[in-house]
Amino acid sequence: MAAYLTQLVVLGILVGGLYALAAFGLSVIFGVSRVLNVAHGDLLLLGALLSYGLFFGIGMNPFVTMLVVIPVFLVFGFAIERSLVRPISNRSPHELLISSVLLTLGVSMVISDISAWATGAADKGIAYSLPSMQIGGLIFPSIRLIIMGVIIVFTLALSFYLKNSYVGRAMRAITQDREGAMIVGVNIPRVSMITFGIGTATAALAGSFYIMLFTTNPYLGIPLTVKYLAIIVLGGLGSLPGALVGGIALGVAEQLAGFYYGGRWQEPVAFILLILILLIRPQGLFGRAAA
Amino acid sequence: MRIRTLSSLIIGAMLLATAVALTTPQIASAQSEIHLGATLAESGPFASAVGPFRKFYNAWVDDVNKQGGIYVKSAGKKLPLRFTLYDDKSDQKTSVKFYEKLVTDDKVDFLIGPFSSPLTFAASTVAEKHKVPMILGCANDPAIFTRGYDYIFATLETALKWAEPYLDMVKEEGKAKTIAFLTMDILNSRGITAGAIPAAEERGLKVVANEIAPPNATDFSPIIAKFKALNPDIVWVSSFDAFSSTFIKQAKELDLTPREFHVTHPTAGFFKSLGNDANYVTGDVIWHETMTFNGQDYFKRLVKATGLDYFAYPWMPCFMWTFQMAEWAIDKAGSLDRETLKKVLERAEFESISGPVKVRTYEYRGQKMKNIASIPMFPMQFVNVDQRQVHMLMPKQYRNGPHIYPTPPWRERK
Repeated sequence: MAAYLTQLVVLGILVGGLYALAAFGLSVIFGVSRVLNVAHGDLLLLGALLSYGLFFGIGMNPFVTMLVVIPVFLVFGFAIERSLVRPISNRSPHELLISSVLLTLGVSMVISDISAWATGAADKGIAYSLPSMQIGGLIFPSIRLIIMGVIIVFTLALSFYLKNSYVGRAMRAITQDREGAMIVGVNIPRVSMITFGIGTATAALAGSFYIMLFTTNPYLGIPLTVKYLAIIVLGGLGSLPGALVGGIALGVAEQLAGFYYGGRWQEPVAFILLILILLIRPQGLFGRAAA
Repeated sequence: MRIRTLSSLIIGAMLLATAVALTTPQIASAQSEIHLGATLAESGPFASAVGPFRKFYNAWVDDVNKQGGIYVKSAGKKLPLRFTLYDDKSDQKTSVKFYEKLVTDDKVDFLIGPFSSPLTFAASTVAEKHKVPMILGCANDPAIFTRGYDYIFATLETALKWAEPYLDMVKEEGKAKTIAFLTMDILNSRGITAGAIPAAEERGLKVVANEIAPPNATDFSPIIAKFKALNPDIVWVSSFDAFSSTFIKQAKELDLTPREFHVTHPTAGFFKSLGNDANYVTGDVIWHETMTFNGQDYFKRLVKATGLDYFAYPWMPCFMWTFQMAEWAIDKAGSLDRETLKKVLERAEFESISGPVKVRTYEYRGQKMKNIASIPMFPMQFVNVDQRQVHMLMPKQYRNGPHIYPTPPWRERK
């Protein structure tokens, strides 16, 4: 029994890494732009579809597709911010939140319907597998290990960028004190645009991995967004370490809930966990308490 | 006086004519055409199984009309066929909405049911409410038929008997001793498992697990961990494509290797997601090209006209049965009157491309089902997906290759 539980924890950590990657983008966008991107799950879906198209269309290795997905969706994110988000960005925080939800909900519906029309509504998955590794009785699925490795590298790179680059410092400044950042001359619209690009590329990268492990369909967006929202609230809004810990906590909780209580409890456990954490620590695991 | 009498007579005749018009059942199309209607899952989760089948409906209508239509005795001639089809998006509410439209707005003569038990369960309420006969193809969960509805008529045998042909084979071979079930929490899948579990036990198999997961489940690791601990000979998955393909993919990742995987609805989405990892998986189909029942050439002609790949869309036959049943019923009824069609369909007995269809009401495993029919499942096995090689397994007269059991473990496969 201990061996199976250890296996489940390992698997939970591996799948939690994927959740965290997807949640990063949502957290970063909200932290800097104060935009709640309800279409985040749909951006993941688009990344998955691009990988799917490259795999079946030209036989590209699914891991190599991320080299195409990242730059394409970086630019796509720039375009979304510039054309849709910037016009509403000067509103009061409350109005901005509501407007962003409605706007991105519309984007979600458009993406969902266009992808259903363009690619068909049937579920899609990539027939790609690698032999798993077995170490001391524990199985480490190779694809999930590679994905985790990419996530770690990506996270370290992103953290380095946020810490050491001007844009990264500007992003953190805006997250901490928007007005203060404006006063010291930070170009908030430009930084928001870059942030949206990074967030969108992160979601799409997660989609490339998602379609290797699971299947996708055009209607997956909103349920995924809700899950990632739960993760970033759990971890603390705007906190990258929080998103990582939240993702892994959720991944492990899902595994254990499914094992002990059955498959029906894997989905609701995200929200049960969220409620429990918020009752004890309303700002989330790594968020700052309100003054 | 005479004028008053004449006026009274005219008014009386008008009232009588009005009363007759209001109480006589309407023949919706006024016998200038046969107008049928249905919804189809052109989008949504079921689209992978039946999404492009509008082409199949169109091929049928074109084929019928090329021959002048279907003979209707009450009209004294062949009438052309018209079909109205809406996309139900694999959604119950949408399906109900469009069936209401088909009846109240489009005024079809009778209906053909949607794909899948969940949608049929909802849509059949429209047929019953409006007293419009509905012929069902791919729908056989007992929950649909235990409501005692008078206006729905199956072609398939009940889902409670789905597993029996496969389990009969397993019993005869005598190799497998244990079985674990994973069920997608949806009508039809639940009905299949509800019948499969007692059927397995009756045939000497020990049921070691019975897990259920929601339709949108994506991570089966906990269930796979449980199954690994139990080491069943057979893992039976009652579900549709995305669910079963994701499960098998993760089973390979986590090295779950029963002696056999069995899935209930293997279609294009299943083997496209898995590729050769689908090899050796057994499943259930509803037709095979070696069958010699009535209508084989007709079916093949329609499939050719659609340009669809039968290997990717093995649920085409259940739509063909509804076409055959519709033509049979119109011929037997001799009219498009709904009550006459209903009486005929209650006693329907004809030969479809997959075998005899006999509509009857009977009780099985404590469930009394009205107007269920008789076409069973035919177990098969994927042998080489890349080469589209499939072995039909049961009934024996259609077997075209051996049942490969046990399945080679994942680590031994190329």
